[in-house]
Amino acid sequence: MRKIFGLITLLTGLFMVYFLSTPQRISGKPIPPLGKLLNPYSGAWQNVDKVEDYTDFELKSEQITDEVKIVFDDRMVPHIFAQNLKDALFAQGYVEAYHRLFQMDLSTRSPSGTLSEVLGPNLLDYDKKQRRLGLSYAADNAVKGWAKFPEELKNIDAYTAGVNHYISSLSVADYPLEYKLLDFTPSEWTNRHSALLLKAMTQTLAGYEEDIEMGNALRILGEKDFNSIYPDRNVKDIPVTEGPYTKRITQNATELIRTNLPSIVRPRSPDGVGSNNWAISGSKSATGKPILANDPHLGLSLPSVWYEIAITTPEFSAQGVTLLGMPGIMIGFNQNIAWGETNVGHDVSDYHTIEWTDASKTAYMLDDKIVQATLKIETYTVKGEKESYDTVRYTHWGPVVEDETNLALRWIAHDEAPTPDFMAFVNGMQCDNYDDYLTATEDFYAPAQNFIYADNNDEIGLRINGALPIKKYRQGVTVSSGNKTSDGWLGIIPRDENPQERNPSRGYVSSANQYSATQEYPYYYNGNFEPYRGRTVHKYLTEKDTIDVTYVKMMQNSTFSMLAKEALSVMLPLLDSTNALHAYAKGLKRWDFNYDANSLNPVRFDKWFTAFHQMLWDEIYTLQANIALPNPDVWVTVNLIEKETNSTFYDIKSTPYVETLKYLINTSFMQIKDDTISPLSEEKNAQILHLTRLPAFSKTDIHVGGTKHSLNAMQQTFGPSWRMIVALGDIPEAYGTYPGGQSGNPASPFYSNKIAVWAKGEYDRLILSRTPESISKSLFTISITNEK
Amino acid sequence: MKNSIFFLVLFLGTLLVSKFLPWWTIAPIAGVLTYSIKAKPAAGFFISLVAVFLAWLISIYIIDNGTVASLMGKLFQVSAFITPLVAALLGGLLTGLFGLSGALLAPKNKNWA
Repeated sequence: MRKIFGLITLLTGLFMVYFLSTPQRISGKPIPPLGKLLNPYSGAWQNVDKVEDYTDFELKSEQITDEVKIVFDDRMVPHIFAQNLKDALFAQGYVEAYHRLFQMDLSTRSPSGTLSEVLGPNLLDYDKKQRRLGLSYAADNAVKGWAKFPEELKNIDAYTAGVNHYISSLSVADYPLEYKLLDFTPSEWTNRHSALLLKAMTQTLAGYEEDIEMGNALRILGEKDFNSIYPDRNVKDIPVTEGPYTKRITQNATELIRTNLPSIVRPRSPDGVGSNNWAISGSKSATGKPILANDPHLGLSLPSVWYEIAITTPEFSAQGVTLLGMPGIMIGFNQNIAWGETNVGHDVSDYHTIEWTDASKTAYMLDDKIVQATLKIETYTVKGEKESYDTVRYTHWGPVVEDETNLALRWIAHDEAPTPDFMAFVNGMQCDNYDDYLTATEDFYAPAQNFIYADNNDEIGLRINGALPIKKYRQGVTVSSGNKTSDGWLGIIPRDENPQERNPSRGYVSSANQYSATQEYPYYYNGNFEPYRGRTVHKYLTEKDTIDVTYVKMMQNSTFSMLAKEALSVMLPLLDSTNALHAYAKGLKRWDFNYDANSLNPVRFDKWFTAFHQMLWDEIYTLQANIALPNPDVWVTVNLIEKETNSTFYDIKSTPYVETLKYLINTSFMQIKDDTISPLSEEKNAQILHLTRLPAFSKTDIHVGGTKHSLNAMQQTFGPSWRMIVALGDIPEAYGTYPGGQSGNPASPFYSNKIAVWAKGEYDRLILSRTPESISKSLFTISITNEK
Repeated sequence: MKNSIFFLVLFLGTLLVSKFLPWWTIAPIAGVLTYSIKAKPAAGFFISLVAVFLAWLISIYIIDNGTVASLMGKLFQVSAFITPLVAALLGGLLTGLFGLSGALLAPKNKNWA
């Protein structure tokens, strides 16, 4: 009896070991392996990060040639001191993995479609969509292209070796907390991971796609109304570059295809991703030398998308932020120059119709010939379930994203870049003059960016670097034909002809995702462009003759909405006297159009304008329940009501009456009249979520103002992800701030410590240190020496 | 006396060897110990439980400065204060079970019963 009882307890004990070592599900909720997670010796407790325990340490690697020192300053920013570039990039790989390994891992799993492998079956659908978009295929192409540049590739090899040096040094106890929670292990880093990150960035920034919705709209509305509601270009826009450009003879317009198709839902970033940058020349600057500012707006996350770093070799000393997984400094400065980027909205993603020869969908017609599609079988390893498979058809144009829709995707992300595109940020950070910088960055392929530049020789400039497809007039506005190879893009705009400006007479260059060039630009240009921030930058920069750093800080934090100003200047005067006397209307009349965190006015305006916009475009919004149609742009509304007192669009089609603009304005105002609302920051409920979206690792209730059309383009989860200002001079005076922290470890005091400074609109001083000794306050130092 | 030594061996053993072995190893070690010394079942269970509970709890208090306790509290939606206790109790219970099995499976010895 006693023995039987003993055996039962022994089996219970063994079962408990198993139960506590494997992830479980209890009433549908995932439970991490509790024993692994909570034991003191290899569990979460080991991830504590105590400042008082920081000590210097040494590493040995045969991958480096000379000694490297990495000094972490009091903000936990690593300053790498190396004797040559490759050693420096090895160290960059090492420190990025040291602080952000889990992030690097997870953010490459999104484009490679391998999230379900570690997060389970809920992510399988997402993974399939990512593979069907061809992101994994695109990374393979990139790596294939890179192999053609063996000399340049050594730089990325050095970076990869640095990442792997860190990974191979880890014991289970050292694994980042998230690995323990999700119960998987870090795997070896390869150059392909860097390619995947570049593809993820292309997806975020150049994944704009409305071909189907536009084709549906054209069919429903007819050409005239379609062109009025969805014009190519906002006439009020001030483009990034003024030229002068010479218009070429217009080619015949593409005949736009009308469609009746459901949307292809693909993971892409919502509206609001965008950025600002500007550089003012010495003549306009209080210091007499150029000032450069850049603030990229992206999805905000913990850890942040950015990582601050400084790199010094005998040739250069540069500082700024890097996109984890890519060697070099993406936005930053060195002793002589400063640089940054904003996104370019030119449409680089087009759907082409596929005419299959039969229902098996294995061959299709192209140039009147039968062409076999390449069938690629995608395999998915799914955590806790058996493998899953999917067949993706690749055509001349690219992958067929959904089999039912018979459309193939031509996307710049899939191209094998003809250049070593990964070198742009490695070479750019080493330059000391604009000609060199232009050469260094011309290899960049996708996503096309407005690369801005300033130096202490008083040069400022901006050029789009990246591949911009040459298109026939209106090509790619809707779905394109895929019957003939001549239906495709006509090539890539030669880099010299990409929109650019150098030392323009107005004394500044700037971009904020608006149109890149004037109407005279020789190539057809369409896509997704921001209508208000670009003009707001111009307003601020022309309003003042002499600009200093304080003014630039004010600009980056400005919550002024040009949309609100322009819309209210029409809407308020048309309010009936009874409405106009209402307290809300009085408040809006006195409003300065700033989206302050504590203000009620922006909330009321947003509610009023949204209601008005939806009533105005009832011909679109009432149909959206049944058919995929694009939302009309807000600037189309504003431009219409500024110009037209009478328009057939003002009529609400579902009523027997003929409504007027005044009626719409007053009726939509009634909808907010008695609304109970909270101040902007409460309504906005800004939050910065951990990559796993676990609330325990996320920060909520962030008190900030802003709107997507203000320079401080803060929305609920999107906003300025890095604000940098560099006043050039003998010693650059630089400032930076971002909503996160250097460490990706939720148990580190450097995990989210920078959010408060950022939310207040304040900055850290960025000090370029030429020697390890010049860093006055350091936390610890890593020395790397050659193994031999 | 025997029980005190057993307690000390297990307690110190946990502190010393756990860093180098998989987290659950101390539990079967406790089982082997109670088997070898022919511990009484109640003593085998409770001494194993308390020794490992205390070793884990003390280790956690030495390692953590409260940050991880608070994070785990948020994660499991419990008070930060109890997360080290829950962790230590897991280790203690598991070891207790093995301690009990060892004691129950050991051949009886009149002198020690």
